[in-house]
Amino acid sequence: MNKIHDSAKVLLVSIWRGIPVSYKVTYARNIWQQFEDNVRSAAYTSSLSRFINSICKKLQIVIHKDHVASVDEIVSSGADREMLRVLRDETTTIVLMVRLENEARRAEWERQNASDEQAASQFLFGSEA
Amino acid sequence: MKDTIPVTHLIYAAATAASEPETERTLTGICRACGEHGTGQKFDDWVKPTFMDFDKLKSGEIICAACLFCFDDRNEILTRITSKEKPQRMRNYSHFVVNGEWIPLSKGDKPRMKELIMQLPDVAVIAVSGQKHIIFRARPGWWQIEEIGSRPFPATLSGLIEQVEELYVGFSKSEIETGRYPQHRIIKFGFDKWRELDSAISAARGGIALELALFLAQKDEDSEQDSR
Repeated sequence: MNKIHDSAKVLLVSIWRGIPVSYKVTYARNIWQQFEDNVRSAAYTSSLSRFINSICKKLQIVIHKDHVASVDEIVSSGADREMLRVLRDETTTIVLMVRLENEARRAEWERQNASDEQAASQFLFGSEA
Repeated sequence: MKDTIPVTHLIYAAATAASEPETERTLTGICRACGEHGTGQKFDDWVKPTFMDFDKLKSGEIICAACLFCFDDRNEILTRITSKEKPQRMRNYSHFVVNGEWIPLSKGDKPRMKELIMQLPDVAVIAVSGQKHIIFRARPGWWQIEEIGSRPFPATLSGLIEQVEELYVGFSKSEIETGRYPQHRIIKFGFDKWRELDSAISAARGGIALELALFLAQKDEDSEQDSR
Protein backbone atom coordinates (compact mmCIF):
# COMPACT_ATOMS: atom_id res chain seq x y z
CA MET A 1 0.00 0.00 0.00
CA ASN A 2 1.61 3.27 -1.06
CA LYS A 3 0.83 7.00 -0.98
CA ILE A 4 -1.22 6.81 -4.19
CA HIS A 5 -3.47 4.15 -2.66
CA ASP A 6 -3.94 6.29 0.45
CA SER A 7 -4.80 9.37 -1.62
CA ALA A 8 -7.18 7.33 -3.80
CA LYS A 9 -8.92 6.15 -0.64
CA VAL A 10 -9.22 9.68 0.75
CA LEU A 11 -10.65 10.82 -2.59
CA LEU A 12 -13.21 8.00 -2.71
CA VAL A 13 -14.22 8.58 0.92
CA SER A 14 -15.05 12.20 0.01
CA ILE A 15 -16.97 11.07 -3.07
CA TRP A 16 -18.83 8.36 -1.15
CA ARG A 17 -19.92 10.78 1.55
CA GLY A 18 -21.22 13.11 -1.17
CA ILE A 19 -23.75 10.56 -2.44
CA PRO A 20 -27.21 11.71 -1.27
CA VAL A 21 -28.67 9.63 1.54
CA SER A 22 -31.88 9.18 -0.46
CA TYR A 23 -29.85 7.63 -3.31
CA LYS A 24 -28.07 5.28 -0.89
CA VAL A 25 -31.41 4.24 0.59
CA THR A 26 -33.04 3.67 -2.82
CA TYR A 27 -30.16 1.46 -3.97
CA ALA A 28 -29.27 0.03 -0.55
CA ARG A 29 -29.01 -3.53 -1.87
CA ASN A 30 -26.31 -2.85 -4.43
CA ILE A 31 -25.01 0.64 -3.72
CA TRP A 32 -21.44 -0.52 -3.04
CA GLN A 33 -21.29 -2.56 -6.25
CA GLN A 34 -22.79 0.39 -8.13
CA PHE A 35 -20.17 2.65 -6.57
CA GLU A 36 -17.34 0.29 -7.60
CA ASP A 37 -18.63 -0.04 -11.18
CA ASN A 38 -19.03 3.71 -11.54
CA VAL A 39 -15.57 4.43 -10.13
CA ARG A 40 -14.05 1.95 -12.56
CA SER A 41 -15.83 3.31 -15.62
CA ALA A 42 -15.28 6.97 -14.68
CA ALA A 43 -11.55 6.29 -14.21
CA TYR A 44 -11.17 5.63 -17.95
CA THR A 45 -10.23 9.23 -18.58
CA SER A 46 -7.10 11.38 -18.67
CA SER A 47 -7.49 13.68 -15.68
CA LEU A 48 -8.73 13.45 -12.10
CA SER A 49 -10.99 16.48 -12.52
CA ARG A 50 -12.77 14.72 -15.42
CA PHE A 51 -13.04 11.59 -13.27
CA ILE A 52 -14.69 13.55 -10.48
CA ASN A 53 -17.04 15.36 -12.88
CA SER A 54 -18.07 12.11 -14.45
CA ILE A 55 -18.77 10.17 -11.24
CA CYS A 56 -20.51 13.12 -9.58
CA LYS A 57 -22.87 13.37 -12.54
CA LYS A 58 -23.63 9.63 -12.55
CA LEU A 59 -24.35 9.29 -8.83
CA GLN A 60 -25.82 12.76 -8.14
CA ILE A 61 -22.86 13.51 -5.85
CA VAL A 62 -22.26 16.83 -4.16
CA ILE A 63 -18.87 16.95 -2.43
CA HIS A 64 -19.38 18.06 1.18
CA LYS A 65 -17.79 21.42 2.02
CA ASP A 66 -15.60 19.78 4.70
CA HIS A 67 -14.00 17.62 1.99
CA VAL A 68 -13.51 20.20 -0.75
CA ALA A 69 -10.02 21.19 0.41
CA SER A 70 -8.70 17.61 0.55
CA VAL A 71 -10.25 16.74 -2.83
CA ASP A 72 -8.73 19.89 -4.30
CA GLU A 73 -5.32 18.99 -2.91
CA ILE A 74 -5.46 15.51 -4.46
CA VAL A 75 -6.71 16.79 -7.82
CA SER A 76 -3.91 19.34 -8.04
CA SER A 77 -1.18 16.95 -6.85
CA GLY A 78 -0.19 16.11 -10.44
CA ALA A 79 -0.53 12.35 -9.86
CA ASP A 80 -3.50 11.98 -12.21
CA ARG A 81 -2.04 9.16 -14.27
CA GLU A 82 -0.94 6.94 -11.35
CA MET A 83 -4.12 7.55 -9.39
CA LEU A 84 -6.40 6.86 -12.34
CA ARG A 85 -4.50 3.61 -12.97
CA VAL A 86 -5.10 2.54 -9.36
CA LEU A 87 -8.77 3.55 -9.60
CA ARG A 88 -9.14 1.51 -12.81
CA ASP A 89 -7.05 -1.57 -12.01
CA GLU A 90 -7.45 -1.84 -8.25
CA THR A 91 -10.99 -0.54 -7.94
CA THR A 92 -12.25 -3.40 -5.79
CA THR A 93 -9.40 -2.96 -3.32
CA ILE A 94 -9.81 0.80 -2.92
CA VAL A 95 -13.61 0.67 -2.74
CA LEU A 96 -13.41 -2.08 -0.13
CA MET A 97 -10.99 -0.01 1.92
CA VAL A 98 -13.55 2.81 1.85
CA ARG A 99 -16.35 0.38 2.69
CA LEU A 100 -14.51 -1.17 5.62
CA GLU A 101 -13.55 2.24 6.97
CA ASN A 102 -17.16 3.34 6.60
CA GLU A 103 -18.38 0.28 8.48
CA ALA A 104 -15.86 0.86 11.27
CA ARG A 105 -16.95 4.51 11.50
CA ARG A 106 -20.60 3.46 11.69
CA ALA A 107 -19.89 0.85 14.35
CA GLU A 108 -17.99 3.46 16.38
CA TRP A 109 -20.87 5.92 15.96
CA GLU A 110 -23.40 3.29 17.08
CA ARG A 111 -21.25 2.36 20.06
CA GLN A 112 -20.85 6.03 20.96
CA ASN A 113 -24.57 6.61 20.52
CA ALA A 114 -25.42 3.67 22.75
CA SER A 115 -23.08 4.83 25.52
CA ASP A 116 -24.46 8.41 25.27
CA GLU A 117 -27.99 7.06 25.59
CA GLN A 118 -26.94 4.94 28.54
CA ALA A 119 -25.30 7.97 30.20
CA ALA A 120 -28.40 10.11 29.58
CA SER A 121 -30.62 7.36 30.95
CA GLN A 122 -28.45 7.05 34.06
CA PHE A 123 -28.47 10.83 34.50
CA LEU A 124 -32.26 11.03 34.17
CA PHE A 125 -33.36 7.86 35.90
CA GLY A 126 -30.38 6.80 37.99
CA SER A 127 -28.50 3.51 37.93
CA GLU A 128 -30.51 0.33 37.30
CA ALA A 129 -28.60 -1.36 40.06
CA MET B 1 16.58 -33.66 -40.07
CA LYS B 2 14.23 -33.76 -37.08
CA ASP B 3 15.82 -34.65 -33.77
CA THR B 4 12.67 -35.53 -31.83
CA ILE B 5 10.05 -38.23 -32.13
CA PRO B 6 6.54 -36.83 -32.65
CA VAL B 7 4.28 -37.03 -29.61
CA THR B 8 1.71 -39.09 -31.54
CA HIS B 9 4.40 -41.73 -32.10
CA LEU B 10 5.45 -41.72 -28.44
CA ILE B 11 1.84 -42.26 -27.33
CA TYR B 12 1.20 -44.88 -30.01
CA ALA B 13 4.37 -46.80 -29.15
CA ALA B 14 3.57 -46.74 -25.44
CA ALA B 15 -0.09 -47.69 -26.01
CA THR B 16 0.59 -50.55 -28.40
CA ALA B 17 3.74 -51.90 -26.79
CA ALA B 18 1.96 -55.03 -25.67
CA SER B 19 -0.23 -55.44 -28.76
CA GLU B 20 0.31 -57.03 -32.14
CA PRO B 21 1.77 -54.62 -34.70
CA GLU B 22 -0.67 -52.95 -37.10
CA THR B 23 -0.82 -54.87 -40.39
CA GLU B 24 -4.09 -53.66 -41.95
CA ARG B 25 -2.77 -50.42 -43.37
CA THR B 26 -0.17 -50.72 -46.08
CA LEU B 27 -0.11 -47.33 -47.81
CA THR B 28 3.23 -45.68 -47.22
CA GLY B 29 4.20 -42.03 -47.52
CA ILE B 30 4.68 -38.83 -45.54
CA CYS B 31 2.11 -38.22 -42.79
CA ARG B 32 0.38 -34.86 -43.01
CA ALA B 33 -0.04 -34.62 -39.24
CA CYS B 34 3.47 -35.49 -37.99
CA GLY B 35 5.59 -35.12 -41.13
CA GLU B 36 7.18 -38.56 -40.63
CA HIS B 37 7.49 -41.27 -43.23
CA GLY B 38 5.20 -44.14 -42.28
CA THR B 39 2.35 -46.47 -43.04
CA GLY B 40 -1.27 -45.48 -42.87
CA GLN B 41 -4.18 -44.46 -45.03
CA LYS B 42 -4.78 -41.78 -47.63
CA PHE B 43 -5.24 -38.43 -45.90
CA ASP B 44 -8.00 -37.27 -48.24
CA ASP B 45 -10.06 -40.39 -47.54
CA TRP B 46 -9.69 -39.94 -43.78
CA VAL B 47 -10.16 -36.20 -43.28
CA LYS B 48 -13.66 -35.02 -42.39
CA PRO B 49 -15.28 -31.73 -43.51
CA THR B 50 -15.25 -30.63 -39.85
CA PHE B 51 -11.42 -30.72 -39.68
CA MET B 52 -10.19 -27.13 -39.30
CA ASP B 53 -6.46 -27.39 -38.58
CA PHE B 54 -5.20 -27.36 -42.17
CA ASP B 55 -2.72 -24.60 -41.25
CA LYS B 56 -0.92 -27.04 -38.93
CA LEU B 57 -0.53 -29.82 -41.49
CA LYS B 58 2.69 -30.83 -43.21
CA SER B 59 3.22 -31.67 -46.84
CA GLY B 60 2.37 -35.30 -47.48
CA GLU B 61 -0.28 -37.68 -48.66
CA ILE B 62 -1.14 -40.06 -45.83
CA ILE B 63 -2.17 -40.05 -42.18
CA CYS B 64 0.06 -42.55 -40.35
CA ALA B 65 -1.08 -45.23 -37.91
CA ALA B 66 0.27 -43.32 -34.88
CA CYS B 67 -1.61 -40.14 -35.77
CA LEU B 68 -4.74 -42.10 -36.65
CA PHE B 69 -4.56 -43.62 -33.18
CA CYS B 70 -4.29 -40.17 -31.57
CA PHE B 71 -7.15 -38.67 -33.61
CA ASP B 72 -9.40 -41.66 -32.99
CA ASP B 73 -12.91 -40.91 -31.71
CA ARG B 74 -13.58 -44.61 -31.05
CA ASN B 75 -10.28 -45.73 -29.60
CA GLU B 76 -10.47 -49.36 -28.52
CA ILE B 77 -7.34 -49.39 -26.37
CA LEU B 78 -8.42 -46.20 -24.58
CA THR B 79 -11.90 -47.64 -24.03
CA ARG B 80 -10.38 -50.79 -22.58
CA ILE B 81 -7.90 -49.15 -20.22
CA THR B 82 -10.45 -46.65 -18.93
CA SER B 83 -12.91 -49.52 -18.37
CA LYS B 84 -15.71 -47.69 -20.17
CA GLU B 85 -18.52 -49.35 -22.05
CA LYS B 86 -18.88 -46.77 -24.83
CA PRO B 87 -16.03 -46.05 -27.28
CA GLN B 88 -13.83 -43.25 -25.95
CA ARG B 89 -12.47 -40.23 -27.79
CA MET B 90 -8.76 -39.45 -27.52
CA ARG B 91 -9.43 -35.69 -27.53
CA ASN B 92 -11.57 -35.93 -24.38
CA TYR B 93 -8.54 -37.04 -22.35
CA SER B 94 -5.30 -35.51 -21.15
CA HIS B 95 -2.32 -37.68 -22.07
CA PHE B 96 0.95 -38.32 -20.31
CA VAL B 97 3.85 -40.59 -21.17
CA VAL B 98 6.10 -41.28 -18.21
CA ASN B 99 9.02 -43.69 -18.59
CA GLY B 100 7.43 -45.23 -21.66
CA GLU B 101 4.03 -45.68 -20.01
CA TRP B 102 1.00 -44.00 -21.57
CA ILE B 103 -1.40 -42.55 -18.98
CA PRO B 104 -4.64 -41.03 -20.31
CA LEU B 105 -6.60 -39.11 -17.67
CA SER B 106 -10.10 -37.69 -17.72
CA LYS B 107 -10.97 -34.27 -16.29
CA GLY B 108 -12.11 -36.01 -13.11
CA ASP B 109 -8.57 -37.10 -12.29
CA LYS B 110 -6.89 -33.76 -11.69
CA PRO B 111 -4.97 -34.80 -8.57
CA ARG B 112 -3.17 -37.42 -10.68
CA MET B 113 -2.63 -34.85 -13.46
CA LYS B 114 -0.97 -32.53 -10.96
CA GLU B 115 1.23 -35.34 -9.73
CA LEU B 116 2.28 -36.43 -13.24
CA ILE B 117 2.96 -32.97 -14.65
CA MET B 118 5.31 -32.22 -11.77
CA GLN B 119 7.38 -35.30 -12.72
CA LEU B 120 8.29 -33.57 -16.02
CA PRO B 121 6.94 -36.39 -18.22
CA ASP B 122 8.09 -37.16 -21.78
CA VAL B 123 4.63 -36.19 -22.98
CA ALA B 124 2.15 -33.87 -21.26
CA VAL B 125 -0.98 -32.96 -23.20
CA ILE B 126 -3.61 -31.22 -21.08
CA ALA B 127 -7.07 -31.16 -22.64
CA VAL B 128 -8.89 -28.26 -20.98
CA SER B 129 -12.00 -28.23 -23.17
CA GLY B 130 -11.73 -31.85 -24.34
CA GLN B 131 -13.12 -30.75 -27.69
CA LYS B 132 -10.00 -30.15 -29.76
CA HIS B 133 -7.42 -32.44 -31.31
CA ILE B 134 -4.27 -31.22 -29.58
CA ILE B 135 -1.99 -34.26 -29.38
CA PHE B 136 -0.53 -33.76 -32.84
CA ARG B 137 0.43 -30.18 -31.91
CA ALA B 138 2.41 -31.25 -28.82
CA ARG B 139 6.20 -31.51 -28.56
CA PRO B 140 8.07 -34.04 -26.41
CA GLY B 141 9.32 -32.55 -23.16
CA TRP B 142 7.00 -29.55 -23.49
CA TRP B 143 3.62 -29.00 -21.92
CA GLN B 144 0.77 -28.75 -24.40
CA ILE B 145 -2.00 -26.88 -22.62
CA GLU B 146 -5.06 -26.93 -24.86
CA GLU B 147 -3.81 -25.02 -27.92
CA ILE B 148 -0.70 -23.50 -26.34
CA GLY B 149 2.65 -25.23 -26.08
CA SER B 150 5.01 -24.16 -23.31
CA ARG B 151 8.31 -25.10 -21.74
CA PRO B 152 7.61 -26.74 -18.36
CA PHE B 153 7.29 -24.35 -15.40
CA PRO B 154 6.76 -26.66 -12.39
CA ALA B 155 7.93 -24.23 -9.68
CA THR B 156 5.70 -21.39 -10.93
CA LEU B 157 2.78 -23.77 -11.37
CA SER B 158 3.14 -25.25 -7.93
CA GLY B 159 3.09 -21.79 -6.28
CA LEU B 160 0.13 -20.66 -8.35
CA ILE B 161 -1.91 -23.79 -7.63
CA GLU B 162 -1.35 -23.25 -3.91
CA GLN B 163 -2.55 -19.63 -4.06
CA VAL B 164 -5.45 -20.41 -6.40
CA GLU B 165 -6.64 -23.26 -4.16
CA GLU B 166 -6.65 -20.92 -1.16
CA LEU B 167 -8.72 -18.39 -3.11
CA TYR B 168 -10.96 -21.16 -4.47
CA VAL B 169 -12.28 -21.68 -0.93
CA GLY B 170 -14.15 -18.37 -1.17
CA PHE B 171 -14.38 -17.54 -4.87
CA SER B 172 -15.29 -19.17 -8.16
CA LYS B 173 -12.66 -20.01 -10.77
CA SER B 174 -14.16 -17.41 -13.08
CA GLU B 175 -13.81 -14.69 -10.42
CA ILE B 176 -10.19 -15.66 -9.81
CA GLU B 177 -9.49 -15.76 -13.54
CA THR B 178 -11.00 -12.35 -14.31
CA GLY B 179 -10.12 -10.58 -11.05
CA ARG B 180 -13.73 -9.41 -10.74
CA TYR B 181 -14.67 -10.41 -7.20
CA PRO B 182 -17.98 -9.58 -5.52
CA GLN B 183 -17.34 -7.36 -2.50
CA HIS B 184 -19.48 -9.38 -0.10
CA ARG B 185 -17.40 -12.49 -0.80
CA ILE B 186 -14.17 -10.60 -0.16
CA ILE B 187 -15.51 -9.38 3.18
CA LYS B 188 -16.56 -12.92 4.09
CA PHE B 189 -13.21 -14.35 2.97
CA GLY B 190 -11.15 -11.66 4.72
CA PHE B 191 -9.93 -8.50 2.98
CA ASP B 192 -6.26 -8.76 3.98
CA LYS B 193 -5.96 -12.43 3.06
CA TRP B 194 -7.73 -11.86 -0.28
CA ARG B 195 -5.50 -8.89 -1.07
CA GLU B 196 -2.34 -10.83 -0.32
CA LEU B 197 -3.36 -13.83 -2.43
CA ASP B 198 -4.81 -11.84 -5.32
CA SER B 199 -1.73 -9.61 -5.49
CA ALA B 200 0.40 -12.74 -5.73
CA ILE B 201 -1.48 -14.09 -8.76
CA SER B 202 -2.42 -10.84 -10.49
CA ALA B 203 0.77 -10.65 -12.57
CA ALA B 204 -0.03 -14.10 -13.99
CA ARG B 205 -3.58 -13.12 -14.98
CA GLY B 206 -4.25 -13.66 -18.69
CA GLY B 207 -1.30 -16.05 -19.05
CA ILE B 208 -1.12 -19.78 -19.61
CA ALA B 209 0.39 -20.47 -16.15
CA LEU B 210 -2.67 -19.17 -14.32
CA GLU B 211 -4.99 -20.87 -16.79
CA LEU B 212 -3.34 -24.20 -16.06
CA ALA B 213 -3.30 -23.56 -12.30
CA LEU B 214 -7.03 -22.77 -12.41
CA PHE B 215 -7.72 -25.90 -14.42
CA LEU B 216 -5.79 -28.10 -11.99
CA ALA B 217 -6.92 -26.40 -8.76
CA GLN B 218 -9.20 -28.48 -6.57
CA LYS B 219 -11.20 -27.78 -3.45
CA ASP B 220 -10.28 -30.10 -0.64
CA GLU B 221 -13.17 -31.70 1.20
CA ASP B 222 -12.63 -29.75 4.44
CA SER B 223 -12.71 -26.33 2.77
CA GLU B 224 -15.73 -27.35 0.69
CA GLN B 225 -17.65 -28.19 3.85
CA ASP B 226 -16.54 -24.91 5.49
CA SER B 227 -17.77 -22.83 2.58
CA ARG B 228 -21.26 -24.37 2.72
